[in-house]
Amino acid sequence: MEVNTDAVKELIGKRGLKVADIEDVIKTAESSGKKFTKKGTNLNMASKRIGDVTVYAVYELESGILKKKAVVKSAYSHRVKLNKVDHLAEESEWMMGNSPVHNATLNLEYMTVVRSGPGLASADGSVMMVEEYLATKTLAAAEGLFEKKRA
Amino acid sequence: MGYEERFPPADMKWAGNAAKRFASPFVDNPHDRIDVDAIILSHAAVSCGYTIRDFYEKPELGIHCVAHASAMYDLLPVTHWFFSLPWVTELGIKLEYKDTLPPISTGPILKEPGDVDNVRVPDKKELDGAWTLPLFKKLYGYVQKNLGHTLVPISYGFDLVGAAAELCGVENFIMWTFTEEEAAKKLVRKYTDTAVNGAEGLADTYGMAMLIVGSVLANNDIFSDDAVKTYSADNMHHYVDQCFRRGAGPQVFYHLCGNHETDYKVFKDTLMWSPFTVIHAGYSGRDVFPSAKLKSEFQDRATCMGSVDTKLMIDPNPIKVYDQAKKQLLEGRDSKRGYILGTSCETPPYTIPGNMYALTRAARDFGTYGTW
Repeated sequence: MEVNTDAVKELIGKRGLKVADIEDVIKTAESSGKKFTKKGTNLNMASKRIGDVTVYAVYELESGILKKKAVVKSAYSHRVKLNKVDHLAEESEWMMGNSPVHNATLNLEYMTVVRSGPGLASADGSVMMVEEYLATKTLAAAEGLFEKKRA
Repeated sequence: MGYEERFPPADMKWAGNAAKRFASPFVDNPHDRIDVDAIILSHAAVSCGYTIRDFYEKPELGIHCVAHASAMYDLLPVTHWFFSLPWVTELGIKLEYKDTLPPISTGPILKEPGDVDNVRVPDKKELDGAWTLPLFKKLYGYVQKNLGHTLVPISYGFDLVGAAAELCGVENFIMWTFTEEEAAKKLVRKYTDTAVNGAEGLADTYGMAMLIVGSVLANNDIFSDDAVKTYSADNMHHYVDQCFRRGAGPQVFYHLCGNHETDYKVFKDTLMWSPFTVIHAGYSGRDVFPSAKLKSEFQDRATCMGSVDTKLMIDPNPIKVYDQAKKQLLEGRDSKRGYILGTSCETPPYTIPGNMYALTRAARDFGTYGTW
């Protein structure tokens, strides 16, 4: 599996992420099948907890002569930990294999505080992820508030 | 002379303690006692010697009165100022200030269901040049300059159904929900999308914006549970979801005003929850909404805010306030994600100060952390 991050190198740096971690996220997802794919597209979303951070890669897959190539479209992270699914809501625009992925209320944890937040979850609740806008806006602001209010 | 010159400097010792207390339920870090939010609006102006009209007509004065009264009564230390009809002027309604009421609509209203199709949702840029958004930006500019320690930029979706109903007249709207469902639904969604654009405009300025959104007109006095879900809860979800997508949030305050005797059940799995969410319910039938029921339904999703009946706040019997507050505190104080003691809606303009003291006294007597 070749991973091409050329288009998002600047973004990866700006967000304090490492190219090696993005590659790890994608390779792990492709080998385990634990990834979400947007319906009717070739766009994939995968995540992996690395240290205290959950790292995400959004990528498209291209078939090469000898091996597949992942072209990374975006990368982001959050520090909040996704514990479990509190409630599965309607189907989202994402799929995991042949199963629909649901919008969900997730049980989140940060600095030992457990609260609820929106996200995506596989139908059996075993795979949970958060889309980029939630991670980089809502959860990022929430992490900042936790830190400020806990100080 | 600016309004800030009419008030003594903020009591920063009080503010520091109140800020820690306010943070308690959100970060599992108990401090002092359960907080009290009497949803103080024009009573703040009245308690400082001004009028109800002053509160709404002079927002900077009004919000400074809120800051002053919050310290005086030892309430939650966040300055808020609002009225129930934000964003309607941008959709064609004129508002008129009154001596004894918040601004009211004087129309013109949409007369026919087909008129809804002509309602255009103004974008963020248009809102920036209109009335509501500049009003709040100016107001928070004043707070930032003079009361910076209390600043939480808040964008009000407020009553998505009630405000939309004002666009065609409340009686017409209620009728349309039976006879012209599509027009009624479309109207609420157009109002909601306007409020979303407004929240984005505020978030652009401050990097975040707390969201306050409620189900007020949509309650069991008028609507079935299904109708409350369709017209209100689904749009509240849409409002918060869209606001999050555009950088507003993460704090959310859900205000279930009026009678939510059975429709409260539609909210838990419909609303969008963030790590900093408070949910508040006013009444169950004619009675105040029991904190035990609030806790049981919502404690796994949000901080619960219980209610003391606002009618009691103008009843010259402080013991009634104290006793009801005690009952609610005992039922709700151990909510998993924290509890706030509130009133069932805005505390009345002529709230009796002795009753406000009874409210905070009950919070101290029965809500001091570490005593239960």
